[in-house]
Amino acid sequence: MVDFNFSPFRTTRILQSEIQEFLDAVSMAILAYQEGMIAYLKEGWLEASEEKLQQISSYESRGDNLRTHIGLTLYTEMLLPDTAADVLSLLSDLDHLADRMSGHFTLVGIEKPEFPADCNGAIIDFICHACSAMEHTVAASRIYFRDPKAVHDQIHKIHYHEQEAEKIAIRLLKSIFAGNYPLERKCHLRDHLLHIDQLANQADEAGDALAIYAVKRSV
Amino acid sequence: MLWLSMPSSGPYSMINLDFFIFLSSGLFLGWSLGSNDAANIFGTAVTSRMLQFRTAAILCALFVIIGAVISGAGASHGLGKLGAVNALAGSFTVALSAGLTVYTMTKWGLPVSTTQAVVGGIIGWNLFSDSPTDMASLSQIAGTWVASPILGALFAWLIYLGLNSLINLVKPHLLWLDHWTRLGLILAGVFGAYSLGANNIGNVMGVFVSSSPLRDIQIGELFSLSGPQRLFLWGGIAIAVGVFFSRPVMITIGKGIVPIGPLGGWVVVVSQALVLFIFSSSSLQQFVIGLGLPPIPLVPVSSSQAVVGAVCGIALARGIKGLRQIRWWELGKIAVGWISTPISAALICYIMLFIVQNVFEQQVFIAL
Repeated sequence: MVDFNFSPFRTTRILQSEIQEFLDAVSMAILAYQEGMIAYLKEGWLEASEEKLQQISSYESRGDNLRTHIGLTLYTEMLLPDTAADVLSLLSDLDHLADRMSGHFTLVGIEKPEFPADCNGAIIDFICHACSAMEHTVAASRIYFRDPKAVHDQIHKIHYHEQEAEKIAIRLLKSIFAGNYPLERKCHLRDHLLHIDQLANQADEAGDALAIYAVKRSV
Repeated sequence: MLWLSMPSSGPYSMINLDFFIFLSSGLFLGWSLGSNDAANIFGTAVTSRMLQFRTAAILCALFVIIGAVISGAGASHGLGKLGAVNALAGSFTVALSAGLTVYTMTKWGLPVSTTQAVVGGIIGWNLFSDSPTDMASLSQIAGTWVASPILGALFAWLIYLGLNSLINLVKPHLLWLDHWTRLGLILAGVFGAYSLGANNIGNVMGVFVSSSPLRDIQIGELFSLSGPQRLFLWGGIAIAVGVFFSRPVMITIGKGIVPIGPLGGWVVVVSQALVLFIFSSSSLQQFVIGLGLPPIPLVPVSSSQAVVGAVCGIALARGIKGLRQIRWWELGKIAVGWISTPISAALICYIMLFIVQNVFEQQVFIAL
């Protein structure tokens, strides 16, 4: 049977829900990464961590597909002619965050870095700040689509969490390198801390770009 | 002689080919108006890729013709009060001199309005034929030249602030905003094209109304066209053809307006269309008279100047930052054009009437 479900609003409606779904996928990947990392620090690599890895990978893969489809639709349907590039760039930045989280958590599962127990509290804080920076970037992105003037209210929170993450990262690195561990372990831990710090930095960069997109969207 | 028309007085009638030769200058003026002024209506939509050029041109052409035929009489009559050019060769010369003035001033990079050139041409004819120029009509028309950019600015200012408040209140999703902007640009463009046809057909065909041999026709039981409407149909078609040549101008104008964004572009088009509509709608004029207010003069006004006014209106609504963006020099040039264009056109028309009368031995006026 032929489907006559034609509506001039259909594409817009579908695209809006896809963007929403994409942002949800990134946000859930952040939550899963945070829980997975904290669980690993507290209990080591158990079944729960494996489950979190599966979750993050699945959100990341769903995000990839959605981003590709959104980009194709925007260009083939000639939607958002003046902001399509900004929207795609924003989605791409968020997708990279999901990719990086998935990549790092996979590495944690393979390499199982041994963080010193006395640093666990600080590392959890570090992860929480990095994840908060990413969460606020996603929140700012949601706001961008409806109220670009309010994006600024989120940007300073991203900066705050990124700076806090940076401070803790430096403190942790100093403490690890001052400790009595073999050099290869110090370097191994440094790599993982830098991975987490990169998440916060990338969220901050995405936030800065978003602030510019929001200014460009003024009438 | 050619069989071209069916007037109401008999089954068929002959319209001399001469008429169409003389009408050619008006048709040229219409073509030039279409290729220039369509950009004011759909320039933003096309340049910002909200609408394809072909779609914009078809919509614009269609509604310019509808506007010209249905509502063209008001503004054309207003121009006729200034001077009724009563010989075909005279009408031809007035339209040609207006066309030449527009062409020359555009070539020199000076802002020019077809309306002002046509008014200058009519004054040139009045001087040549020793006919009186109705000073009351002239001052009324000149008043609308000043009023149209001011009204354009006022409308744009109000619409811009209203739209901003509405968007801040509703906070639509970017995709829906894009959707409604696209639809708004089409509707505003259609309204703008209708108003352009209704208002500016007076520039193109107004000088031919008194000398036109076209009479009323009845097509079927319901549909009829008066003589002037048939003339406006020809003029409308000429403007519509010009619209299809407007792509380069659309891109130039659109790029100038694009920094305002598609929504700002929508505000400009609606404001400009409202200005043209106000100066061409007989129904609105009757309504205003009914309220006991002074009547709105129905005369052709410059769509480009209404656009410049509207852009300034948006700049004003943006406050100090917007004020700094206004190019005051451009506004000054427009003000100079209010005087230089009609004087140049009058002078060119006077000289050309002399040539047409004495070299080509054509009757350019009928002495009353």
